[in-house]
Amino acid sequence: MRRTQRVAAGAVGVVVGLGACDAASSDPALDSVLVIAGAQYRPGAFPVEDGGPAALSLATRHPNILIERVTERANAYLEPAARAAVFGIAGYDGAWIVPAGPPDFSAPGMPTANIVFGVRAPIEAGPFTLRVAAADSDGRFGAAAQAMLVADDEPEPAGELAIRLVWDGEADLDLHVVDALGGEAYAEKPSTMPPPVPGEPVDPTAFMKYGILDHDGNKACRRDGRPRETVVWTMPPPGGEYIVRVDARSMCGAPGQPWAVMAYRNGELIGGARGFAAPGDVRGDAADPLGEHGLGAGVLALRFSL
Amino acid sequence: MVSRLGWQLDLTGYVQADAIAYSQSSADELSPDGTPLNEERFVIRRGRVRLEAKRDALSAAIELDGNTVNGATARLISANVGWRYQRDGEALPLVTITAGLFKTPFGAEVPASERDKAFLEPPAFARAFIPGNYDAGVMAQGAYGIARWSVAVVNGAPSGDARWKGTDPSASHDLVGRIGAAIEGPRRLRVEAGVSALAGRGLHPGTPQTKDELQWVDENQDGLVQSTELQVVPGAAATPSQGFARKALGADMQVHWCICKIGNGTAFAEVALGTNLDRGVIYADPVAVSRDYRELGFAVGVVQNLGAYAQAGVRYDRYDGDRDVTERLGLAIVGENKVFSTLSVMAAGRWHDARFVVQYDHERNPFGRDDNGTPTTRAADRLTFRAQVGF
Repeated sequence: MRRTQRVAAGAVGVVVGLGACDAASSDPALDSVLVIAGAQYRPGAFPVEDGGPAALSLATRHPNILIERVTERANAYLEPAARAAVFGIAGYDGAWIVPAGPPDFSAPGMPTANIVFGVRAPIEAGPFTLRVAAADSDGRFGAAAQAMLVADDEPEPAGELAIRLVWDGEADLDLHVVDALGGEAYAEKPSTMPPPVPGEPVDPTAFMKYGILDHDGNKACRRDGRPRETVVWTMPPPGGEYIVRVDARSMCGAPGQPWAVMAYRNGELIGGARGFAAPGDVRGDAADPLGEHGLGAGVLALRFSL
Repeated sequence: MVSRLGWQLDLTGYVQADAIAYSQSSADELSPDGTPLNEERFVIRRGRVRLEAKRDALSAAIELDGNTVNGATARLISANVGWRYQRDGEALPLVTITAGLFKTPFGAEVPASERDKAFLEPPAFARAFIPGNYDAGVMAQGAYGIARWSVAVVNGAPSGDARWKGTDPSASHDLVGRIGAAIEGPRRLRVEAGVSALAGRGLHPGTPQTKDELQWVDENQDGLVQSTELQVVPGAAATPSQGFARKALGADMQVHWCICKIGNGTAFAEVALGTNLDRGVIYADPVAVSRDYRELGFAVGVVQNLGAYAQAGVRYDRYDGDRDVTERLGLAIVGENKVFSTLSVMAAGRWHDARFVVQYDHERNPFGRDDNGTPTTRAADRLTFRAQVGF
């Protein structure tokens, strides 16, 4: 019995020992406030200085960044011995490792670290500090550089009139808006402006008087982070009746997709509607823009007058 | 086994039901393409049915595989016809000709039956060089005295090819073979050794032409298009597909023994050198990187029966999928090791055609980044239980 116990204890020790060896984290870090595309997550506190190369500077393109958007670029210059850089946010655990890049033209001889990053909840709107520390070939860190930034909540859509479709899922939904003049904007025709009459001169600024669709969310089932589509009038919109429809072009494998439509006038909410797209709402061939998904497609979501 | 119209029909099969109890790389999340990242689950690794028919020198076999590794799947895994010439008094045929879908005769690990393997899955170099094990073609193999030989002309697109999925993209074929010996020694000692070689051609896929595109990057994040935020992505002409040479050389050795009071045991070692051959782990496309990929892999291990009902073993395998890769880290250009290695510890209980296996895999891989920027192991140890019953 005692021999059996020793063997069992030894086996457990081997297993625990194997599993305890040093290794990079396999945590996808989906709860980290800092998000950096293509970097390796490094759990724990931000590294402290222990004789490694210093990070000389850190700069971003904008002092303000929107929460939940991973689009901001940052550039750091590092001392020559740097092999990698670690980015983090002061006050939050967890950081990201990025291999050092080659020097650029403005600072020859200095390694660089270039990232595209974003921040997300639980960080709140307000100031925060982005930090970067460089590491040498032995993994020793130097003095960190930092940049003071401001996180902003995403603003309501700007413009004289804005109509927004939002959903959270993989389905490919399309916003259709018919303005008071009868023009319709949707993915294949992203403006309510009527087509020019052949032979007549075209006013190059005429498009600004009409509603313009910003983009096609989840186009062809390529998932956006936060899918949404907005038709915006930057100049006073014509008076009359507006019709908003939502077309389910493809469910992209989703069993169902809730959606919401909001209309804003100068940033103030003037109307809204909620709905649900099911596989049965997908009509015709999703790849045929002139078929079931062109003019007049979709279910009625909202009707209002200005 | 049944006989009908002079044919002997033999139906066999087995089921391998796995329970992955612990996996360090598992997460209750989805990858960006929507694939679940959870690995701690019950899975049917293999459920196979094999029907063999023999009449005199002729034979035919069909083997179907079902599994739930990536969702429920049923597929044809092997189908071939054969003719053999066997002299009277010889245990093995002098020549066997096989045509169809069969296991590629390279090394010792790839041709071995998954039903009889002691360890759960093949080592990394075998999964890289001949992913899926099966390929279509014509094979001749046989035995003469202690000599064992096999040579095959195959499509060069094994069933597990990560890019072509078993479809042959080029008209050229791969030539692959093994020559070896099986020597019986005293006291039930038996030594098997051989060398293998493979030569063939792969295909780098060309690209279709593209049109000019307008790209909008919302630099000031106001949701509106400004002319300074527009970039032109120029179109590109189509590029043709190109072929490239690939080859491999391997050596394998197995020593079998019998310790009377304990049972049979086997020690094995296999090594393989390849050039542009990886089709499963780090896909080798030398045209894309303008240089050859040189690969090196090996596996060593020992398996010992412990009486009639138990078995234990240890295996270490290591695979370097790109021996020449370098990376620029700051001002320095450093060599990078894209090395996969696994230390596997296995224990099994057996009863007739049933096995229950417990295996712990301590895996090292280059998927992580260390604090100094160099690739390092991303935690990927796992503990797997397997129940297997054959018939």
